[in-house]
Amino acid sequence: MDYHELMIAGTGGRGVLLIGRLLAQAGIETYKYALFFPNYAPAMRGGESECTVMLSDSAIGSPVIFKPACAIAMTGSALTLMENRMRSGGSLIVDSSVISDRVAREDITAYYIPATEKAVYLGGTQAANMVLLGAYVEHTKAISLDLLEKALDNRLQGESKKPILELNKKALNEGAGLMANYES
Amino acid sequence: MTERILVAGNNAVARGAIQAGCKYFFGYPITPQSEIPEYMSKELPKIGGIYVQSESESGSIYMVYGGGLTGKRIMTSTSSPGLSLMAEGLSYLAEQEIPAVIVDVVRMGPGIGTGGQGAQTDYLQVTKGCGHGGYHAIVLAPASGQEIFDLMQLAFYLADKYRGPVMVITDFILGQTEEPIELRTLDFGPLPEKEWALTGKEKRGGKRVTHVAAFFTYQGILNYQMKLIEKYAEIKRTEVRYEKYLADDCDLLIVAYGSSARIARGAVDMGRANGLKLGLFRPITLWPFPVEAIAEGASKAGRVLVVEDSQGQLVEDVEASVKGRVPVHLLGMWGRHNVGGGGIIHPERVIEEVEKLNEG
Repeated sequence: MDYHELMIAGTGGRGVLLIGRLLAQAGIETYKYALFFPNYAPAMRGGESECTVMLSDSAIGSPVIFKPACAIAMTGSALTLMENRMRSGGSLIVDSSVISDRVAREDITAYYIPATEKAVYLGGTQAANMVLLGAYVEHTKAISLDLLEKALDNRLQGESKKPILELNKKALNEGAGLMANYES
Repeated sequence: MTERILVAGNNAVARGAIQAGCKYFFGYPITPQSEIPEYMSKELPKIGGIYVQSESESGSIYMVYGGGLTGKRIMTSTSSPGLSLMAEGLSYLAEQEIPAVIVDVVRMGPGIGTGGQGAQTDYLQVTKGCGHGGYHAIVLAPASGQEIFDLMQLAFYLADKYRGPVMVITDFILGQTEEPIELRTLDFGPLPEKEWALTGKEKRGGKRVTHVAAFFTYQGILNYQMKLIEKYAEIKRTEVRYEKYLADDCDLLIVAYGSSARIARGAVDMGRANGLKLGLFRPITLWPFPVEAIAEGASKAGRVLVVEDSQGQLVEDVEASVKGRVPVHLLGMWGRHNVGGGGIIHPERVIEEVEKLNEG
C-alpha cells in the first residue's frame, strides 16, 4: 500500500495552502484517494496557517493527524510547532533562508532548503513554497514533478499568467534539484 | 468512466443537489457554509434555476416552504445560528408535509459561536426537532466528500418519498476538506406522483390553486397526528443507515458520526496496528437512530467509547440504546489539542483515551 502524509505550516499569504491543494490536485491522478485539509481557523494573511495532505491507494481514515510523518516548515514558529509534533523517524523540510533555528530532535531528519533565497534568485519570493514542494516530491517520490507541472498549467492559464507559471515551474525543479543533491 | 474531481465538502453539497435535480436555492451567507450559496448562485442560473439570497434565514426557510409547495426540488443551507432562525419554518414544513432539503454545516455553539472552527454541537438540535410541535426530519450525516455528494441525492429522494424536510449535517472539517468525488447519478427507484403540488391555475394547465393546512385534510386533528406518527414509525423501520468498521470483532466499540467518525476510523487503524482491538460504529442516519444495531454491537464488544466534538450529545442516544448493559464512555470536545482556534480531536488523542480506559 502506497501512502503519504504531509503537514505544511507557515504564515498565511505565503502559499501554505496553495502547495497543499496543488499536491492533492496532482495526487488524484496517481492515487485512488487524496485529501487536503486546510486548518487556518483564526489565520488569514499574516497569521499562522497549516494544512494536511494525504495520498493513498486505500481509503483514508482521519482527515487530520497530530503526529505527521513528513512536514514542511516555512517560518520559525512553524518549525517549533512541527518539531514538537512530528512522529519519530519523520522528515522535516525547513526553509533555511528565513529560519535560522536548527532542529534539536535527533529522531527526526531535517532538510534545510534555502527556499526563499533560491526563489528570489529565480524571480520572486512568492515561489519559495514551490521550491519546498519540489524538495518534498523529490524526497518522497510521492508523485512525479510532471503531474505537479500539469496541475500548475491547469491553475495558471492564459498569457498574463505565463511569467508566474514559468517562475513556479522553475522553483519546483530548483527544489527537486536541491533535495537530489542534498548533503547534511 | 465517471468524471472524478477534487472538491471541498461544501462544493460536494452543492454539486450533489444539482445532480439530484435541485434548481432552486434560497439562502443567506454564514461561515462556514458560504461556499454552498456561492456555487449555487453561479451555477443555478446557467441551468434555468433560481438562486435567491434572502434577507435572513427566517426568510430563506419560508422561500423554501413556498417553493416546495410547487413540488420542485428545493433546498437551503446554513450554519448553526441560521438553523435556529429556521426552526419555526422547519416545523411548518413538517406539518404541511413539504419536501425540502436543509443542510447544516455546523459551527461551534451555543450562541454566535465561532464560524471558522469545527464542532458537532448541533446534534440535539437536528435530531430532536429544532422547531416546535414534536415533528421529525430524517437527518443524514455523511463523513466524506463522496458520501456528501451521494447523500445529497438520497436526501432529495427521501424528502419526496416521505414528504417532509430532510436534513444533511456536516461541519467545518467536512466542509473544508477536499477529496476526490465521482460525479455519479444515483437511482433510488420510482417515486409517487406529486398530486398535492400547486402547479398553477387550471386554465394554465395546473391542477390545484390552494393548499389546505394539513390539520384540516385528514378528517380530524387526531387522524392527522396518527398519520404523522405512522409515517415516522415507517421511517424508523425502513430508513436506518449505519456503517460498521471492524466492529464485529472488537473489545471496544467506538461510536462516532461525521468528521469524528473519520478521525475515529483513523484511530481504529492506529490501534489495530498496535494490538488494540478497536471497532467503529458510524450512524449515517442520526434520525432515525440505529438503536438496535448499536445495542447489539455494544453487547458484543462489552464497552463503548463515544467520540464527538461537543459537550456530549450523541452520547445520550447511545446510552439510551445500550440501556446500561455495558459501560459507555465519552471523549468530547475536551479532547481537542488546542484551547484556541482550530482545536481538533486527533486520532492520537482517541488512542490515548483508549489506553486510559484499558488501564482502568
